[in-house]
Amino acid sequence: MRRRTRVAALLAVLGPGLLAGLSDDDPPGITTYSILGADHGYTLLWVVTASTVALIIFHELGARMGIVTGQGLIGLIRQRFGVRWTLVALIALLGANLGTLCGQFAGIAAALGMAGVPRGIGVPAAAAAVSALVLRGSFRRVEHVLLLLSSVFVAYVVAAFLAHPDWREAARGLVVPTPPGTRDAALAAVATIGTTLAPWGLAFIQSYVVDKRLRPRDLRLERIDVIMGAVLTGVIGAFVVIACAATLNASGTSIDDARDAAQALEPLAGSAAATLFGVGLLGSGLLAASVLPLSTAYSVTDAAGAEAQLDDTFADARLFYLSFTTIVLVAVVVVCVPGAPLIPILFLSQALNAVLLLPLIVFMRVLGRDRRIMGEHTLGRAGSIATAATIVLIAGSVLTTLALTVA
Amino acid sequence: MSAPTIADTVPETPATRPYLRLTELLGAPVRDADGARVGRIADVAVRLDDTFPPVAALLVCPRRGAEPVVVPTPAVTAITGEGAVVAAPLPPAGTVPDDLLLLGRDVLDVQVVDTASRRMARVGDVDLAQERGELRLIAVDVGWRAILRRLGLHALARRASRDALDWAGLHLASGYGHPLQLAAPAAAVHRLDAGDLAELLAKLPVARGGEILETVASARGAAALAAVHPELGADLVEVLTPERALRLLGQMPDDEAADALRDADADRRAGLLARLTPARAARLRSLIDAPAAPTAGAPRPRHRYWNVLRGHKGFLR
Repeated sequence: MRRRTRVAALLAVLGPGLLAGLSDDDPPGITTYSILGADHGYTLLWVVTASTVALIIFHELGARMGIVTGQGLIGLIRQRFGVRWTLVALIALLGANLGTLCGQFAGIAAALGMAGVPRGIGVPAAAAAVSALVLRGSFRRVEHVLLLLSSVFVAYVVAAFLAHPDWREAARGLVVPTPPGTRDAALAAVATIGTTLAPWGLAFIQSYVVDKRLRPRDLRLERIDVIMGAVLTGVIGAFVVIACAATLNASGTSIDDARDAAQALEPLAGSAAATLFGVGLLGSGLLAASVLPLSTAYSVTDAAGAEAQLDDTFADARLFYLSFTTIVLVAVVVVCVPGAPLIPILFLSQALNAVLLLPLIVFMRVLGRDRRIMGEHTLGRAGSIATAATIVLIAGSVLTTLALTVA
Repeated sequence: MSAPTIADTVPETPATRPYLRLTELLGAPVRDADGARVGRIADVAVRLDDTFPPVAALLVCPRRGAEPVVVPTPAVTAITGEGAVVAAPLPPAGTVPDDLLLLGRDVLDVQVVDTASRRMARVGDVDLAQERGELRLIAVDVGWRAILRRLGLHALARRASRDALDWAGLHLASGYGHPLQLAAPAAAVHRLDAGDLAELLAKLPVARGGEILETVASARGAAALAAVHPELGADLVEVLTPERALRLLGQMPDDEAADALRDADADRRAGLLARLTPARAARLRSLIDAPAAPTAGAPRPRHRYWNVLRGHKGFLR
């Protein structure tokens, strides 16, 4: 009986960590992990391990801040740092979210492109459909279908086994850090960090625990939720890298379009690999393209201090709806530019994420260490060291990439 | 239409503006009677013993990085948009009394709920004006104008309208001022009836709502707990101390008490029921096991994603 109660309590808390973690297995995420494996084999797998640890550290902190303060990230930044620093944080978040939303639409365009649908038609139609579903309140009807479609990326786990990878090299790559020696390797490492620890995920998880009205006593279970979400996304990411290393890297194939990336699923799906990959891109792209503009609009209204919710009228929540619509429209226009390269959009947007992530996690660390805000849940010594080490490592990776690019 | 408030009646002409903005005071120079600069204003403190609290002290920073000193208002001869003048040398640095609300720290950029309009907003600036012979906190500006001005976008700020909320009706939804406001008899939260209190509870994080229910008169608290949506009621029952929860449940009719307990954590519910009389506990258990009655209209917490995932009424519908 007692045990059943504990399980029920965990189930009641589950959600924010799982969703925020698994949302990294979206088109930009899968593409980035694929490029990491295809171009660099097993050598940079440790970046997935390190990014997963960073994901646990900062998602736990975001969930903790939401539970303790009852506020979203941008709102809390405004309360602690004032409007000027809030503008800095908001610009970083908006830039990262726009890039990532472009990545989602690029993934949708790539998936539809494999089915022969021109992006000029497919992307605006997909954007209109997901926006209407969210704004009409019908999202729940398709949520499970999209989740099911997204889950096809679990197929990478099977595909990796069937591709007979060099498990010794894979295990070594996972735990032994090999510094990236070239600009491309450094860029792939940075993009992997940016896609795993996505800025929008930080804002999302904090808002979501507030939504669920989790309380400090739920923190222990919420940590389990965060770890489950992060480990699951890390495991899927690692298997994508391994599958691509064993297939694309072994055959010397680089990823120039979605069909190249889909080849990693051929050991499992054979000639249906492209279809399977396309279905996964479409489902996860639509799912993320539904939640990301929503998260962005909430962050903008939090910064301005205007409360908004989806059942508010346009007149009552003008800023909210304008933010939602603007980011969707801009992303659609960027992806629909004739000849806009989809794979670079998917990949480079994630490298941009890592750069724009830095100010946000610095704000989070300062907030987490503020005893007046966090009370007894203030970051302790271990948490302070872990967050500082993560910030230094990410900053170091970004600076290394810049230095190698300039050189 | 509600009656005009102090915030409504303050004219907004820059040349004749009869109130001071907190953001023009913060960082402004502090001089002694001879005009020599002795520091900068680090914060402005009010004591919440009136509906429109008077400024009780200035926190003055003698030099960059130094601990601020507390200068009580009797030692301040003038406070204007250009800064302040103190009558005597600055006292040594000391701790800020716990009963003072610091406007820069506790109010500026903090979420507030206007109990009159039930609107939630974030404070962009704080307005202070001479009232009954003292400089008092009269209103907060929650509009774009304050934000734009603080960002240095003065031309845009001049075109934006002022959006002031009267301090008398405000409740600090977050931040350090919350416990101070609960402790102040003059605060808005103590003047709300049960229905308005229920609306306020629905706006606030559960922990803040629990703090309110720990503080207000138990009859009003029980009525507010009965009026909120049962989902929220259950959350509030969980964050209250058991003694307070029992006191509020004791003042609620059986059906309302059962509603508040139905969705509460099983351990908490069992613990509370065990401390009621056996007869009442049995009645509540049978009501809890019965299907819940419809709760249309009861104030429920506002959601973002959670509603999307559970199905909400979108504005396009």
